[in-house]
Amino acid sequence: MTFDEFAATRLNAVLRFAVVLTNDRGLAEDVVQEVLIRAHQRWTQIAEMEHPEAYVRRMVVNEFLSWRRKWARYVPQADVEPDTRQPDHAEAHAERSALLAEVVKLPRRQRAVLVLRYYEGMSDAQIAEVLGCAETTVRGYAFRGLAALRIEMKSAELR
Amino acid sequence: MRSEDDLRAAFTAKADDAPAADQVLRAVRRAASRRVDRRRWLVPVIGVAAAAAVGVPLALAVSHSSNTSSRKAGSGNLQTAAGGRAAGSANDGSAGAAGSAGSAAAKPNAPGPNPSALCSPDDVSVSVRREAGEGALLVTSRGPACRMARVPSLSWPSGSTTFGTQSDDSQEKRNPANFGVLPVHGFATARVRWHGCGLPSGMVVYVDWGNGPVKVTVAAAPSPAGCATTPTPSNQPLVVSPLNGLS
Repeated sequence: MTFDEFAATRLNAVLRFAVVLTNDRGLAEDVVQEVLIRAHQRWTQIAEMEHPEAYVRRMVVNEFLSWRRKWARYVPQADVEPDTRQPDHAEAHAERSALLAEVVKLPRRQRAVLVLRYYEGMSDAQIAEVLGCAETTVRGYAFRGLAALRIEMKSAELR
Repeated sequence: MRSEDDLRAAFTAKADDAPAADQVLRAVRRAASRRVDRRRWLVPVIGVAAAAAVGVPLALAVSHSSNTSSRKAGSGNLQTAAGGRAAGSANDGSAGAAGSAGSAAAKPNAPGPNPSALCSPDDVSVSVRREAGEGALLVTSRGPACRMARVPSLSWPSGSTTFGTQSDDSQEKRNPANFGVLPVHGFATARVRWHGCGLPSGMVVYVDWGNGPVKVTVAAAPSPAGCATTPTPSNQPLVVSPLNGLS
């Protein structure tokens, strides 16, 4: 798979993942752009991997986790406000917006675990591999994150 | 209490907020080309800097080593010259010193071109050619510069010339003034004069330029009428002029 083929077929999915992970369209764009520039430089090596897309997603997660560390000194930080756009008054939409606003307040690693588990559908083992930590650590992050969001874990014991 | 499905739905809804892929891709390509442009002038600059970093010390080292070796060669020449001076003073001075200096001066065939060494038979080719009324001794260098007597001696079965102008051969051979240097690929000639039949063609003579006698057969023009191939009688004078062509 060439870089162009990857960009044509998989970039949209990576961008969607980045937006969910960062909860910020601009930041997602910056993170993915930075990752793709680095990936483009050594695409021959990445293309030889079994799952290039998984590797790029892992790069996105790592870039997101280090993003604040990297840019905190240069970019003025502001508290992330809940999404105030209200395209409609549906209760479900409001609830989702409130939930995402609370997700943003979680520590980055907890947020990454929740996105990888509930958006990407990864198992704890896969998440542990992406984050470079133990599965028990992943379960701990998930438990604390869900607790903070007041989410009842139906399948926690199964994982 | 919320459920996990609520979280999934929220994430899925948020994903729709993603920016367009081609917009990001354009930015990536712009950034990549900027990096390539930067590399386009950065690579030669880094190359030149690296070449300078490696080349300058290397050139200095080579220059230093060649200076050192030429200095060593220079000191070698000085030592040779000093040896020559020692030999000269030895000739002027005591007999004991003269012996050592003489042996040093007579040491032949030092490795490599060494003008202070006596010519060995391998260093030169020698011929004696009989011509009308007189003969010619031709010494041609085969390569290295070397020393030889300015007036070599000729000997034949029944007679010989003296070495140089003095009768004492050993003393003559110790005197550096009696020796000259045959240049690289150069040649030197000496006239050989005789009376009567002189050197008949085909006769064997021995040429000695300070490094021992070398066998040479007289060549060229046939013997004059009435001259037999018998050796020249010892009482017939034979004169060898100084070699022309030595420095």
